Amino acid sequence: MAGTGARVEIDGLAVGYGSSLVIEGLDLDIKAGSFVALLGASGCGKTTLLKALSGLLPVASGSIRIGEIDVTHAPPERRPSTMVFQSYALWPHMSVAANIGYGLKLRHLSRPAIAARVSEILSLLGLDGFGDRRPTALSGGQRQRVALGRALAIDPPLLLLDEPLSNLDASVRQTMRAEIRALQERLGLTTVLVTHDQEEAMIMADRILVMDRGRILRDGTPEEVWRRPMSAFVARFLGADNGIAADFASLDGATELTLIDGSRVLLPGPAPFVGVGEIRFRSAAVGFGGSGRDGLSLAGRIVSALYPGGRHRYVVETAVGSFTVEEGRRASLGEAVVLSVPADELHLFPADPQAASARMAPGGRLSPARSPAADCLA
Amino acid sequence: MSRSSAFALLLVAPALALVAVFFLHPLVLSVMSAFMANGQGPTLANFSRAFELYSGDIIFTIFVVTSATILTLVVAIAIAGALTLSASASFIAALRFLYRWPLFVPFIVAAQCMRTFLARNGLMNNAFVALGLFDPTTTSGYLDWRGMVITFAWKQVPFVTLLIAGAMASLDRATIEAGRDLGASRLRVLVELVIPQVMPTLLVSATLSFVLMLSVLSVPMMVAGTQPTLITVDMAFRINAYGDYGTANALGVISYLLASGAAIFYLRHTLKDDRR
Repeated sequence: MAGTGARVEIDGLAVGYGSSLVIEGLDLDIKAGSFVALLGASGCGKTTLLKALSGLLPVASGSIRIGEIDVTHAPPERRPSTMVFQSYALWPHMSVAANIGYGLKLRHLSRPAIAARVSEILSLLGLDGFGDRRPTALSGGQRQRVALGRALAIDPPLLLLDEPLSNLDASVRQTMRAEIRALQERLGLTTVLVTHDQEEAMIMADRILVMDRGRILRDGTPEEVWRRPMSAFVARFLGADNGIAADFASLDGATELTLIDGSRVLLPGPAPFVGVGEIRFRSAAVGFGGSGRDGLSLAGRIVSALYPGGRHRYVVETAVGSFTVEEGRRASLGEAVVLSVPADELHLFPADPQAASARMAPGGRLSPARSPAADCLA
Repeated sequence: MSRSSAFALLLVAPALALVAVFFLHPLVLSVMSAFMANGQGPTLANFSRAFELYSGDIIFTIFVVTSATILTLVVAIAIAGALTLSASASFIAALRFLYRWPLFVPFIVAAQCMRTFLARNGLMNNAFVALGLFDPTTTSGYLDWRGMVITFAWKQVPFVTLLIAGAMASLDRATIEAGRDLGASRLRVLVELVIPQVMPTLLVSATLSFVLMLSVLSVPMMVAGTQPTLITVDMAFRINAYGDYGTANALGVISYLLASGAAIFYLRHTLKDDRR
């Protein structure tokens, strides 16, 4: 059963609702057997792209090929893809077995063949003995498995997952992520996952596409995307919540930053650009006290302290803004602290969107040819 | 009794009084009168006369009303299904605009329209003749049981469609998309996935339509004046021609029983559904 996945080629795709296009001129090539996550906030076009792939939304222009077949204008029932819906979309009047076997019934398989395949799927998903139950008698996690089983039963060359885990509670979600990923690798299915959950995309996919306003802003492996977000938007979306506006200049082969309070910071390596820009960093990258390494140091006062378990979460107010910090050390409200961020955890972006888009390669992707000081100063 | 429940009772009292005076009282009177003859009772004399004279009409009534209910459901499901599953927005808009018009036409006007539409030289036959489908010498009118079934269905379809289309629209749209996505045609999605999910609404509207059609007098009077006819006509005839309230009320009780039969059928089905 391994290696059933198909390659997907999208060329100049334009798709939308009515006369307003959500996606325009999108190109994408998905390798057979790969797991791609479309990551973005709501309204970024990720679900629209998924619906265009499934045929539930008509394509305005461009083309979509799944395997050897051009499916651009094919209705959903004639496409070799199956979708797992956010609401699971199980049919409440049918048993679990009938739900899973429905796609096989449509393919005119014999009753014994359907029964055999359904019981195979049930045990694959750990649902043995649940075949006669109604979906309404199952828990959220079990329903999710049935929805997945219904899609897997027909051996789809392309599996589409529309936020399949968003209705599950945290612990079940953790398990299902790992299960779906393991299943996808074992069956060799080409899979496209739509999610707004950065962690989910990182854990499950081997390629992440960060989308905004119908465009792909960043395309790479989870690690590449995490370490080199390439734009302030992507950095913010991937957890770099803290931002400081700064003026960038070159000084003797190093980068000199002038912050809004007039203080100056020197970073190693030449400036990636000159002029107004933005520094972004993650709360987990910040520590209290001098790190002893090159980087950013800011004096401030704790204005909020939370303990979500594990590390403490603080909001620290400084002369250049307030920042969230995750620290192992316990500190009290009002305490004066010095924040330090290592240079290699700072992501630097020009503020001018024109300058940012000038570095965009065709197809909305950023050119990988960048100064090593930019984005990731390691 | 606590103060609040006494107050609640006071609030519903006017409504209860109206139901009691204008519905329960005449109902009890008519049922009692069905079991009385020549001022004596209880007796089944009225029922034996009703069956003797009108057993054919009773069966005919069940046949016409059941056929009309089935036709209504079939057409309403087709329209509601098209509204739910069609991809063409302009088709949906046109259909949505058109199908509701009969809602605002009273039965008696519908019956009058159907007289001229379905007659031997009516609009329908003339149209077929003009299209060359029928030979003018062999046309026949439809002003019999067929006319009644068509009139009832024409009048009831919008109401039933309104209910069913509403129920279909409130389904999780993804359950329809999931069917298409797995490879089901629109027709299969309608029959295997959509209709079973709106079955409770379907049964409610079938029961309501059945009971409503059972009580219509104008349509059998105007569309098919001759025998056999519906028992509403027989009831009117017993009263107007003979002042025979006993037999008329016996026929009334029979139509109550038919209506209750439809209600029991509906209740049994929904209860069975709840148990699952």
